[in-house]
Amino acid sequence: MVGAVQTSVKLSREAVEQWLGAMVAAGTKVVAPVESAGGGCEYRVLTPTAAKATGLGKGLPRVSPKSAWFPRSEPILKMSRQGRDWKLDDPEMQFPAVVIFGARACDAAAPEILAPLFGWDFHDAFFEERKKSLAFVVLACQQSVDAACFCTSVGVDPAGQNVGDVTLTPLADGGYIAQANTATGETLLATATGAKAADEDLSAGRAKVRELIARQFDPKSVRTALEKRFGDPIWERASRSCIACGTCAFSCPTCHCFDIQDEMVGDKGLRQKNWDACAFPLFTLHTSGHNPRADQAGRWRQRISHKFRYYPEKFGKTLCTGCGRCIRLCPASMDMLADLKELDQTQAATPQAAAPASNPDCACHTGAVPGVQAINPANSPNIYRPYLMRVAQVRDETPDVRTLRLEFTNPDEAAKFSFRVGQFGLYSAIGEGESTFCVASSPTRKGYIECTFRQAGRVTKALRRLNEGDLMGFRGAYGNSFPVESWKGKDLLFVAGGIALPPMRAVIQYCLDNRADYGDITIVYGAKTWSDHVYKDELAEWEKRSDVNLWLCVDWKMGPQGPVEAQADADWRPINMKEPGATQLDPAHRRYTAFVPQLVEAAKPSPANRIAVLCGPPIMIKFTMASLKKLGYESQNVFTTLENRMKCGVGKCGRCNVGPIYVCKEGPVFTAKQVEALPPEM
Amino acid sequence: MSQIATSEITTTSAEPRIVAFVCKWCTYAGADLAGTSRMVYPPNVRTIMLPCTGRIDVTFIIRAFLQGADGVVVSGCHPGDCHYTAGNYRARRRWTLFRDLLDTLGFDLRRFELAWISAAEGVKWVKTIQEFTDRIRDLGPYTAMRQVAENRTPDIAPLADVLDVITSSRMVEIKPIDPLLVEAVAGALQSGKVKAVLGWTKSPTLGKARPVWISSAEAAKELVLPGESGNLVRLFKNPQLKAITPLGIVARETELLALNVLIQEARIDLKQLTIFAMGSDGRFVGEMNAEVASATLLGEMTKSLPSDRPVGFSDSLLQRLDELMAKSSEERWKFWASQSAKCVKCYACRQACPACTCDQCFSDKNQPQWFPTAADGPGNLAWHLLRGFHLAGRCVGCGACQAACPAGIPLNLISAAMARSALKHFGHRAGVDANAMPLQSDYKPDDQESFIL
Repeated sequence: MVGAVQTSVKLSREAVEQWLGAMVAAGTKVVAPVESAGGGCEYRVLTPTAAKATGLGKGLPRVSPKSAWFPRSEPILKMSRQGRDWKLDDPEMQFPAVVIFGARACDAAAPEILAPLFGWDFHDAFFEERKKSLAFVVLACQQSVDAACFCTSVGVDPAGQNVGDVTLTPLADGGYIAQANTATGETLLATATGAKAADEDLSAGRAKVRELIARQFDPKSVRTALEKRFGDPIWERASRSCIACGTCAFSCPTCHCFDIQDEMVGDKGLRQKNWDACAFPLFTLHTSGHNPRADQAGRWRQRISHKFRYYPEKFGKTLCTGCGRCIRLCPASMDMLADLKELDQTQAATPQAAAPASNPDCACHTGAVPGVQAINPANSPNIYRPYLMRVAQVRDETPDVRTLRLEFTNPDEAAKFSFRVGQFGLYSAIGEGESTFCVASSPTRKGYIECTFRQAGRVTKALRRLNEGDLMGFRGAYGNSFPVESWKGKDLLFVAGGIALPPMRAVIQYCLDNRADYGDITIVYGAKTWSDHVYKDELAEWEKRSDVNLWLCVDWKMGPQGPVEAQADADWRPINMKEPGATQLDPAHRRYTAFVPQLVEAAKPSPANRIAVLCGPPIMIKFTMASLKKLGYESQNVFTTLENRMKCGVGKCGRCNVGPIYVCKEGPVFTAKQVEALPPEM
Repeated sequence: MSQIATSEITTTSAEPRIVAFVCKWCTYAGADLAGTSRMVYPPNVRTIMLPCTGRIDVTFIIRAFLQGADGVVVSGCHPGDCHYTAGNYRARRRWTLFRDLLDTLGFDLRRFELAWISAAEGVKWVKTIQEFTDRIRDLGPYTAMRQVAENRTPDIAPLADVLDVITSSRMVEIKPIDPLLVEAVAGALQSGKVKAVLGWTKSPTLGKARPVWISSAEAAKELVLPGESGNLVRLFKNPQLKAITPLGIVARETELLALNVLIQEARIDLKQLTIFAMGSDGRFVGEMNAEVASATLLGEMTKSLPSDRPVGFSDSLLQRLDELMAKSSEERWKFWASQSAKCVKCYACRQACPACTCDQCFSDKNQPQWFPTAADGPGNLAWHLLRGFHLAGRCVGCGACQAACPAGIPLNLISAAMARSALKHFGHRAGVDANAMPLQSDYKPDDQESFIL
């Protein structure tokens, strides 16, 4: 806010109404509180026939005016189909000026809080353009609405100083002192007709309201408590009432998590951002059925932690303005304020390892964000706009896993595009939605990218329907990458299970294409059966290469009492199930019956001067980590790539947030050491 | 779905766009007969064949209108002729309720035609389609629907209709608790008769009634009773509760009605449940099983109800419904369009509802995705229609949905209209009898209707 501007005007109630009427008549879109039938007020867009803020001063409007800067459903891409061809267009990205008149400080403070997130090296032009066209005429509070108000605790001033473009302070005679806080405010106020304010001292009134809404907790100590109390019983207790609706998030001025959905009508359609909420079980649910945040207790903890720990840690601001709506409107009378006070007061609790500050290789810390800002498709400011890609090749890997090779339809974009090994992208089946996969091919293989996916949900099903020559979308590449440069001269071990080889294939290909840079390369790959192994051609090629040490395995056949050794296939030699380390692998025979961790133990790749890369289902990761530790690997030398559910891929939608980490930005590549320090929500 | 989508009903031709959902055994064969007999009828109709009218979900009809149809025809075998014995009887019951729902919302019913057409009635098919097409041509494009369906960029609601905002009581008031209840609950928890009891406590900051379960005898002291709305039975949706048995619940009339609905639908294990019954005067009636509690709390109440009065809804709400229904359908459509434009799709109505107990709601399914998930024109209309329909014959009028709605949409007006419809056509009151068949799972060959050709 601009501090230097300080024009004050005294306005009578009538003058305020005239001012408002003039704004509406001039065609400005004005949102103002309007009194509702049952008492209280609501924000409404005023119309020229009824340009009266009848709810001005009648408490806090029921839901926040968040839609003005972050609409509940917002088109982010226009799609149209003609035969087999698709045309993609940006929707309207210029927005008319909006004045939110009579907003309370707690609503007016919200867009500033959200700005760092929406401008976190990817600039969400929808938010930023809307914010630019937004002006606030703040109505200073004179008292609290009810006991749920706690703005002062999170640093928002109920007297409306230093927030908004104009602040209206009510006077005893029914008039107001209108004070411009910014240049925009000056311009707005110029259209009002009022006397120059006498030097009225409003400080007593301001002090009074700040005292009335007394500070109830210290966000800093709440943050410390949240770091320590991840496994605390407070969460289970609080979540007994939660009915998993989105009222708290949807009435909140700062909650900003969203979903992205495609909806077609005939041959035309829109991709929309829709509000989403961390209280919904579906928010983090993977298509596989795995839900990393499995219960309501965890979801309630996420809401509070995101607002009071993760967001401040990342962006330096508390993600809350203390409006109290989540307490006031909750159908189950959940009480965030009471929980915050409890966290504040009782800090002594279960000690937990501090979370890692951040991933040192993260693009946002190193400043290197290759291949994103510079080359937005069609030079659009729209970060959600995908490249239009043509399917150049369709390859079936297993009965339900398929690889698509994609080529750019626009040669300019192809020329400018670059990515690093380990980055991921969002692949659109246009009209159905986007799915996140790692780029499965190496940047050393020029001219195309590949993705490999298992048919699981709506999007992958639609991607599977694509034939060679069809069009699809690709956004990316996003996220950090494997630090392959710093691995030069080292031995490498790659361990993958099932469908987890694709995310690792890029880095394997890269290292093989720069073979001279690396020492021994050992690959351990297993899947349930041979038919579940992906990239069989490449496996055969690696098997033949003398400079690659490839070990393959199929799972044990399971009997009622666990694995049945006797049933192992002749081609797939069994290894010692009890003591896999005692098995001597025959270098002339590469195929074994084993679980991946056992094969790793049998292969005994020396940890000296070696980097291990690990990827697979959670259960495999858990046991393979144990095996690697047994072999003497240190967790900072073990890398993995995480696959949390993502929607935006650019650190906005909040879905992949785990602990202080946004997997899409600080990941997907992490060392095992970093993962160990994160909450168990993977 | 793809058939609806690919039927090119979204083209901008001036001709009426009509979708017909027909059963495979009768009407489709009837239409075929018309064709092979070289009978002529308007080509505006896009026929979509399904196995049975019982399979023609109302979602198809809503979807067709949202995708641009100006009129929809649904047709199948005559009563008694169903290839699957009773599919058309069930469909008839659903259509009766659905038509009433559409009427409540001010939908133009002239655009929705139902007919029984057998495989031999090629002539009747031709006549029905001819007359329907003529009617739709006279009516013109369905612009009222178009306006809603094409609103894809929702905004903060405009000022119009703001006076219809209903503020809910939000369970602010708390009634004092009967000490006898506290004693009984504490005793049952102490003795291990129940492991946890569902009840209400007071929220610390605002002192509102908060649904919760308690598992210690000391916590019984914290129990309170809520004022008007809310229904504890919704807590059964919490998966954490599944691991805790046996359970007890502090139940008023409204909770018992809701429990009975769940019992009818076999969603709750009765034997495991102890009811701490509360009279409507706030007094503790006793500790009993659900059957006895039903007879005690609901028996007298239902007997004293006038024959046209559904259970649960307040007088003022039913009066409001009367006022709404007295308006023209255009006015009703306008009213509901402005109300549903406020919806933010937080699903608080669903989550607060004791009867919404599906493991996965239709709105959360995306294969196929029948409904737009966005909180825009089509998304909101589809949600409120389907929610209203799925609760027909199941809603006990507790008002929890409306109390939960942060946007202040009068959701229980829709529920009340459906409860009236269920009572008027089928004599059904939700939840009064645990042994009754669920309304929409049942049928009678002599169910009456007057609108099917």
